[in-house]
Amino acid sequence: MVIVKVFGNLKTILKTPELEIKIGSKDNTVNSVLNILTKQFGEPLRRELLDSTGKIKAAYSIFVNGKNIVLSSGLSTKLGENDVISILPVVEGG
Amino acid sequence: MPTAYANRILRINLSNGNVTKKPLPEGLTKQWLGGKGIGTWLLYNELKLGINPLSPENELIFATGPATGTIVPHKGFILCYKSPLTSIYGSSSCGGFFGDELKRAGYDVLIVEGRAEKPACIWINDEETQIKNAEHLWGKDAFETNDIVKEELGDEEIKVARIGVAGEKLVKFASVTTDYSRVAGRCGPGAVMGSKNLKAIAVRGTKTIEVAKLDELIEFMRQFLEMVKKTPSTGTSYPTWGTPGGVNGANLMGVFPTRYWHKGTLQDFEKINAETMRRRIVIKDKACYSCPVNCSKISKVGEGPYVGAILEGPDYETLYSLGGLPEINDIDAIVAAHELCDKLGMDAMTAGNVVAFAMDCYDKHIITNKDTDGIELTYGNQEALVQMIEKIGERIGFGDILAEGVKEAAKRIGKGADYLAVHIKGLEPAGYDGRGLKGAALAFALADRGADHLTGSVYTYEMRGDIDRLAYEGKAAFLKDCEERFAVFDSMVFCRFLRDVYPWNTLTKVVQLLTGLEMSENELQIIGEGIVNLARAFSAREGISRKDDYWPERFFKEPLPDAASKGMMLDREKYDAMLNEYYALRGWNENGIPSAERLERLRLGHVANHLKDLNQKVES
Repeated sequence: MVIVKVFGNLKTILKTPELEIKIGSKDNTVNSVLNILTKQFGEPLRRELLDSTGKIKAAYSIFVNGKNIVLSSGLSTKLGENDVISILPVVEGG
Repeated sequence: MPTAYANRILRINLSNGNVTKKPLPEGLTKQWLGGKGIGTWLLYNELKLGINPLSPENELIFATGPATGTIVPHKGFILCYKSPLTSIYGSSSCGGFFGDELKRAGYDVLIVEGRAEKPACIWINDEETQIKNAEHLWGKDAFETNDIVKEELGDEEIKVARIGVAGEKLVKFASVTTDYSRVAGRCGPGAVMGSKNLKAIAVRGTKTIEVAKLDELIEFMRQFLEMVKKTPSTGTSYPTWGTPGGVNGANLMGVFPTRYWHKGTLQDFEKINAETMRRRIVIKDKACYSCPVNCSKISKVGEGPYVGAILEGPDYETLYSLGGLPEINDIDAIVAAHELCDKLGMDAMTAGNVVAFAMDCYDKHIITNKDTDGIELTYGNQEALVQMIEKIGERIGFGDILAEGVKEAAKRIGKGADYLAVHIKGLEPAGYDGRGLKGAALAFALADRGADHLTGSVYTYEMRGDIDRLAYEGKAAFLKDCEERFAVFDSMVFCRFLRDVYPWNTLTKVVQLLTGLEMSENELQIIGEGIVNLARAFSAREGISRKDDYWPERFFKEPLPDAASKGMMLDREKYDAMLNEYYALRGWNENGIPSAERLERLRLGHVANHLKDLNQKVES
């Protein structure tokens, strides 16, 4: 089981700020979690989160336990039990 | 050929009432472009060494840039002065419309010097300039002053830069406010204005700013605005969430300064994030002159104890300073505290820092109710935050001590309070904890005005994962390039939030189209490098050196406790190596003093002469 936390417009689409997702021993990457999410929440989530080529939009960041996945293995980042995946609008600073 | 400059400097001496208008020397624009470049040059050359920042000898230099008043998105102006908070180089830029009005009145730069005998107001109406009596305005807050000045002069289009009561009382971090609440806040320009007995500057300008290559600029702008729309930061993030969009990420990463720099995540931070703001208090999006981004949010509290509080904000920085630091996760209370800072006319970033610093002292029993005039300065006490801000702005009781800023307040409180105090060169930092952002740590430490995030802006690239936030390696070179590009930004005067759409080549192009100056990227970078060196030289002469380029000791000893930054702190050896590398790249000696060789290469020979003694000290 992993925990997915969402921020920004995603909260409205998922109708919750947080949900739990079961992962298998093989399907245990960020990408597999995203596949489960897009299957469950369909087109609205896909439109918000992915660009026309299916990549995560640059306006979003994904953190695993607070660490940005671009600095680890990106969407192939492996997940462990109880890991927290946060999907949030990218931090631009102020 | 037009040049996008108004080509004049207006100088007003409040001691003798002299008003002079002089041409802007062409050499000055070629070497320094405008804004920060010209402002820093004038400040360096005109101020005597060692002056009291609150004396008539200090100057307030309002410098617009080539972009000001044109169709190219920009900020309004930058203010340069010797800071009363830090006693070194001070500058603060300001969005809104005041700068445009000043330039349309026919001036690139306004220099205010001296001290009026009685409270005064400057009225610039195109060619006509008057120094008017403002005794009736003394004691009025920043909002009332704006309304009264406009009403008295009978023109709603007038733009007014003014101070509130904090500026009159010489609160060391008092701000200068323009528009409704666009603020030049950092390093205390409002106290400089107050020390001159200057309550307000009203401007009305009706001239046209002509650019060098209008047709090409229009074509450039078509493509540029497309780029602005397509770029995630300027097309999506800032318009949708404003700067508060950073609250989630900073807290998840554990670098959102909380409980006066002891923690990195605020409990229930979602209660003060951008989504909560949007849902609960934001009533309107707003943009500066000719900017399509709309990053600014107008907020109004609709219910509860703070009903009716309204302001342009809060921003990420005030959510951190008035939320994270005092551990307050009530968005309405933050709006009320921020509005009060704007009303009194003081920097809400430093204000939050000084109150939270006092809360930390209270928490550790260094101060008690006896010191605080009976206010229970416990963390999370939002009522105490508001009460203390009021006392600071009016310099009442304990507020009089906190009105000096964290560094001086710690000295006066004593009993070990200085170990807790967080500042670099006397300026309280922006809201990013350097223990979890190594490049930002270096950037804050080297920023010309003290612990500032915007001078180098490295934090942005680390926060969004463009570069590894935990690496020390490579950060010195990255910072050097950022500082130079953003020194050019501040000279144009461009907003930092357009950083993603202005790589060097685009920046060079727009300089050429606006000014007609045929500059290469390399020449522009040299201008940026010159500004960094000139500001450093200003402060080096005032005593700044390597010893001042450090975060407080506790950042090297006490790790961050939260989230993804748990256990992180600054490693002194690696930090020193990063600092050494930066000095070497800059051509500064090991004590952080610009070398004669580098200064001469930057056509700053006279500055090299001024620093001769400082360089010799190291050699001997």
